[in-house]
Amino acid sequence: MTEILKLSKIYKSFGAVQALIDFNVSISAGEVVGLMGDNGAGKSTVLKIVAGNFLPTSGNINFSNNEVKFNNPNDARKSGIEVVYQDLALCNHLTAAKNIYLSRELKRFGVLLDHKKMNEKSRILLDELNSSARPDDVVTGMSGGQRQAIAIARTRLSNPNIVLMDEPTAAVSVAQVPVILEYIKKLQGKGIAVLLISHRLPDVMTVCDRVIVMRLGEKVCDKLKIDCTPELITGLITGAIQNA
Amino acid sequence: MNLLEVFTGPKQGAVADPRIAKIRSRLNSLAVFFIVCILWISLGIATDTFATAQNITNVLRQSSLWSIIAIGQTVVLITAGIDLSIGSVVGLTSCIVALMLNKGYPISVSCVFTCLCGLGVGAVHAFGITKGKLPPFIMTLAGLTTWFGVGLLITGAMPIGNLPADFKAFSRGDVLGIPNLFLCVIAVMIPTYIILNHTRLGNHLYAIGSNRPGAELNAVPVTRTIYFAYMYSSFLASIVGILVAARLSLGIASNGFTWELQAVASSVIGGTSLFGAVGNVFGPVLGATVLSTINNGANLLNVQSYWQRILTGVIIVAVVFFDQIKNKGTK
Repeated sequence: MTEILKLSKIYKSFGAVQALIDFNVSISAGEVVGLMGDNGAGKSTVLKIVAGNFLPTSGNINFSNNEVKFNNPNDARKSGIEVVYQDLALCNHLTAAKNIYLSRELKRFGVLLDHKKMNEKSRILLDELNSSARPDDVVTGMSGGQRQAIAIARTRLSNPNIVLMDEPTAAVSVAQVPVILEYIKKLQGKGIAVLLISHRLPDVMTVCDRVIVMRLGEKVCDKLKIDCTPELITGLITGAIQNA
Repeated sequence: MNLLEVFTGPKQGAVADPRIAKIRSRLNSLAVFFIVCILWISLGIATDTFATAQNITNVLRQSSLWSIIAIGQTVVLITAGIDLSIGSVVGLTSCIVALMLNKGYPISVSCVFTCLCGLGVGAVHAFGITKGKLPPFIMTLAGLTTWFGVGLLITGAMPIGNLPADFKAFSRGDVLGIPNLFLCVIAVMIPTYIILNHTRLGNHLYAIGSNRPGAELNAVPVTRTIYFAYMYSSFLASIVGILVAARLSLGIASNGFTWELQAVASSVIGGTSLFGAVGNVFGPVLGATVLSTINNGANLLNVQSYWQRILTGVIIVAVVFFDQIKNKGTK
């Protein structure tokens, strides 16, 4: 499989805190990789470096075999990286459609917003995710599942090479979890790689091909799912097992 | 849809019906309009002079100047910022335009240069806020005293008069009975409405006010958008500086003194939230009309001017208090 993303010797520090230490990973097209770890393990830092929110203190990022430097989220997006953030990064006062199209608004006459088209296309995207959210309703007051659907719908606006998802099933109803997992499989079917950060072991074991475990900023495991057991992963996360 | 929720709001802990929320928002906007109507009818009944063409024109003239700066303030407030320098920028720019006219520059050149100065002032504020990471309150509070000082410095604290008759005539003139100053408000409202409601820039202004970190994660050009907000506010303040110099026939640094408070008050009375992301172009105009009507009515009823200031303060506190209650849970 073609390698899409490769992080080599990534270090990241915030003042005296070493958030990432010699982090290496390679992800291929159509591969779903689960990234697990306890709070503060460095998972979200990895995601934010790939998404262009943070620059690494040192190390290299290769994307589609080119060395890249993402100075901001727009750089990453242009390269074909879409992200679903843990806090969803939604603007409560904007409508669902305006949130989905935020910074990628559709225009008519080159200047004016095309509200109608944004609403219509958002309706289609939300329907595909079985969401009851209405495109022209403001996000304030929407349920966790509706909000999650809006955040995920954003990833459908482009043809990404990789989708980064930070706890996409954390705030949704039990009924909506399979819809999101099914969506991840659909992405995989289209040859799109997915990096899935999750605390939910069943989700990771259901959709991922490979599991990476982090502890205190370091990678302690990078194995195919078939070589992992729930006990092994839990042991690695808690530190009961040091390395695997 | 439970129509009772239109008046009571959603039950505690319940998810708000977006359709109800929409109706409530529309009613909020209309409330200020009804307040203006009630004030005008009451003053029309209580006094003989309020409902005269000349007095209504005066109210519109006064509210026009406040409306324009309040529209600028609204754009800044939507980003969850604040511009406390507006009054001083009005004063400074009235001095700049008066000095240039006094030195014989053509009216057009003087006005364009003054507006450029306004844009420059806004850029300085935005630079401090985005690059210097200063809170907007501090940056523009510093601007309030700095620009007032600059105004005093360039004029030697003296009023600059002897302005051309054509320049003075504009602010006192009218078209078909509508004061030119009010036409200026309309000329400012139209592009602002389009920007806020129908452009990417407007969407980004609301996004930043609603969730700035979220907007950054979504690749919204936050710095550029904040530059626009503060430059637009100062630009509108410079237009008011020109208009006030024309209206009073002089440029003086104390023109527009404390008008930043009128701008904030007009904006929040008109439904703009001090917490960001809520506001439209009609609210500040209605808010300014409420304030100028109160001032005008108080004069006609021989109420001491001190009471007008006290009343304005009480209104601001009351409106922000209710805004705070309304905002709980939306951030």
